[in-house]
Order: sequence, then structure tokens, then C-alpha cells
Amino acid sequence: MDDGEMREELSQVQDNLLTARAQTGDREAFGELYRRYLPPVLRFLTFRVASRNDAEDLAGLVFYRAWQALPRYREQEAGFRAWVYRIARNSVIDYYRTSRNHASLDESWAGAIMADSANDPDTHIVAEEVRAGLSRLPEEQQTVLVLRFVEGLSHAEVAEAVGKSEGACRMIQLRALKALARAMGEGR
Amino acid sequence: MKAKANLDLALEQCLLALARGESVEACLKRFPQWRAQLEPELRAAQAMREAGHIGPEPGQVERIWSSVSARIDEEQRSTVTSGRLVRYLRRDRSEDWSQPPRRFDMSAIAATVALLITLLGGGGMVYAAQDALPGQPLYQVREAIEAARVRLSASEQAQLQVRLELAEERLSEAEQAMNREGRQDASTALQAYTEQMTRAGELAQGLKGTPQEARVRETILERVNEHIALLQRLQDRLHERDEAAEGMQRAVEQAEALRERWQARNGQEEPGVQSGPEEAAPEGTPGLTPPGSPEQQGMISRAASAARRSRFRHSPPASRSNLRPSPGLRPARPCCRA
Repeated sequence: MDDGEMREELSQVQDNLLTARAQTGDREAFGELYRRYLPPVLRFLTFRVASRNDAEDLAGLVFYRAWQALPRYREQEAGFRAWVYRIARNSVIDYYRTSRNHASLDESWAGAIMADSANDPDTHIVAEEVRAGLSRLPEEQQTVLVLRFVEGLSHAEVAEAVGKSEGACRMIQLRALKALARAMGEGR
Repeated sequence: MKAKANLDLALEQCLLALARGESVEACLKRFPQWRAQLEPELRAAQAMREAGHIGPEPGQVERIWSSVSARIDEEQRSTVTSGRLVRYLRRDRSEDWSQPPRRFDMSAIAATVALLITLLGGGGMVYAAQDALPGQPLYQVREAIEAARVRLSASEQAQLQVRLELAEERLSEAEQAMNREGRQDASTALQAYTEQMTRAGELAQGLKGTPQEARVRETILERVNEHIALLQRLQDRLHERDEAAEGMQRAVEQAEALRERWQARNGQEEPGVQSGPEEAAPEGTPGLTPPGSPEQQGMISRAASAARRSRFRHSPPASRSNLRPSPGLRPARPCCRA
């Protein structure tokens, strides 16, 4: 086990302890889980919905839903992180099914993210290219790619988040990466 | 085929190398024969990694936490409101015995609430709740409405009819969930289906020896045969034995057990060629085992344990299927599209 794997395991143990505390209604423990996972969840949502405001609203909803669902959370191999991504993914699907007036990428997301002074402009240009390419892929492929390459989840965690087997997720990843490369190539 | 497998393997190895911090160029040098194919995909993967460096803007973490906290506070402030009812109903589903025992008959409260909502002009909410799925805010309202539908039915035959309709709605939801690869949702729906069919079987017991018995028997057999055919088709589509497949297997067993009992009652006739609705079974014909018998208890126990395993979570909404008339009882909602 290298340092990275050790850090990952320690982090998961901490998550389990925090989750157990949060399940008893400990708001402070839930707040710590929130602080750990808001940035990646928000990033995931930013890549998946049309506007940054929508991503922020959805992020709040995801953590509220996580709080509500905590009593039914059972410790699992993939851990809290995969579980909260699963809620986030379901929330994105619900967002596209229930809302009809979402702003398009061109109107909002790109401009907003470029105006964000907290991040490196070069990163934003790359992010914009990725976001544009991703938007042409099916929902499931988008989810797998973002979780694997933007968020760095393992195959097991991605499988837990999308509710499929690891083997199926690997196949989706291969197909999705080919499709994204094609889409980004066409966009240049 | 072999070349493609090798290419996929090379891509997999390069992706692992990128994750360890290796450059795209270094990866490509290891597989010069695949350079043209690998390069665009590796560049796309690398771009995604770089895009991952975007973080929240200043103040965003605190702002979102404020909204989450406000929602939690609002939920916890509620006293004798739907929030409290929702928590009671959830406790009932999960059978969490660490919670204090309930002091009220929640199904009666649910029925009253549903009735009040309707009487006080909540028709729009009731209508909207009809399409709610597990995990959605209106799902508890939907459950209350369904419980009320059963409780307010004028007769046992009417209750049986409602149970069959609810079972078919669950089956329809399972089919829709399978169509969109939502196996978790399908599993949840199948457990609810099993629960409803068990209740329907219990109600059918109460009709033994009544004039409606033959008609009810024919209807149930017809429905159960349709259910089995649909479940088999769905099962064929499952390639892995996951949670949904287990739920599916339980549902198939449940439906087959019900069919066997009705066939035994009907003198081993083949399904689909049952005697007419007016032809009552002779006195003393073996039928469904009594509710207290080991067989019936086993069936109920399986369904109850399936229901206990049921976990409700947020899921995307699904559209409802159309109605299909069915002989015997009044027209029912169809569940089984070929």
C-alpha cells in the first residue's frame, strides 16, 4: 500500500466515523462531511448542469437530501463519497426531467466560469472545452467520465455511484472517452 | 477483435499511468503502434484531469451550507405537520426498532390526512402525488392516498381490486425503471409489488365460498400469468445477479406460488383456459391455503422480509402507464406491455 492508498483508506475511515455520528443527528459531524465533499460535488454538478447558479442550488439540495437519507445509509465498501455522488447524479437526472427552462451552456456557464477570479484562466479554458464536449454525450457517459477523470473516483466507487457493475462501468468509460475525444476534436 | 482488445488494454494502461502523473507523450512512446488511436483519447482524459482543478468561488461553501442548514432547521421545527408524519411513515418502512414505539395507528392517520387534503381543496397536490416515486417529496402523500384507497373500499372484493391495481402500478414502475437501467428503483418497486400481491392473496382468502369467488379466481389467475410473463421477460434482460435480479426472482417466485395455489384450487387447469366467470368452484375445493397455514405464512414471510429489505431513496420520476380493461372485476390499470 503506497502513501496515496493509505491516505485514501484513512480518509474513508474518518468518513465512516463522521457518518456514524451524523446518523445520530450530529449536525457538526454532518457539517464536516459537507466541508469535505462540497467542492467535488459542486464541481461534478457544475460539469453536469447548464448554469453555475443551478449547480449551487442543486448542491444545497444534494446535501439536504443526504441529511434526510442518512438514517438509511449503510456503511459500504465504496463509502460515503460514492453514496453522495449517487444522490448528486439522481438530482441531476431529476433536474433535467422536472425543469423546462434551463439556460443553455452558451448563455451562462461559460461566461460565469470565466468571470470567476478564484481559478486559473487556463484551467477554465480547458474546462470549457471539456464541458462542451461532455454536453454532447449521453447522461450516463457524462457521469462516468466526470467521476473517473475529474473527481478521480475508483472504478468501484463509480460503479456504486451509477448503480452498475465495475465491468459495465469500464466499458462505458472506454466508449465515453472515445466519444469525448471525437466531440472535442470536432469542436476545435 | 484481438487488435481491439490490445488497443483497449493499452488505453487502460495509459490511463493508469496518467493517473500516476505520467505525461501523455511518455505513454504514447510505450505504444507507438497505437499512437494515432490513443492520442485523442489520452488528451481528452488529460483535459478532464486539468479541468478538475476548478474549486468553489469565495463564500460559496458558506452560502450553500446556510441553505442546507436552513432546510434542516425548518424540518426539525415542524411538530404536528407532514414532516412528523413523514418521519413516522419512514420509521414504519425501515422497521427501526431503536426508535420509540408509535402511539398512533399511522395508517388511520394517513387515511385521514389524505381525506382531509382532498376535502380541503388539495386536489392538485393529490393529483401531483399520484406520479411521485420513492424518495420524492410527494411520495408520502401518495402512500397515504393509496392506504386510504384500500381502507375506504366498500368491500373485501373492492379492496382486492385496489391491491391488484397497486401491485400492477408497482410492476409497471419496475418495468420503467428497468427500461432506464434503474435497477435499484426496479428492485424497490418489485418488493412493493410482492407486498401488494401477498395482501391481495390474503384478501382472496376472505372471499372463499362467496358468489364472487369464481370471478375473482379467474381475474387473479389471468393477472398473475401476465405478471409472470412480464417478469420473465425482464429477468431475461438481466445479465448479472444484482439486487434487482434478486428482487425479480422473489417476485417471480411470489407470482408462481400464487398461480400454483389457484391452479390447485381450479383442478389443475392450464392457465389461460380457466372456466368461465360464472362457474363457481364446488364446495370443499382445495384453494388458497388458510392465512395461518405454513405455506401461506411462508409466502407472507417472504414478502415481509422483502419489504423489510426495501430501502426508499431518491429516484427520478417515471411516467405512468395506460389503463387496460380486464375481465372479471372492473377495468384495471394495465402493467404488462408486450
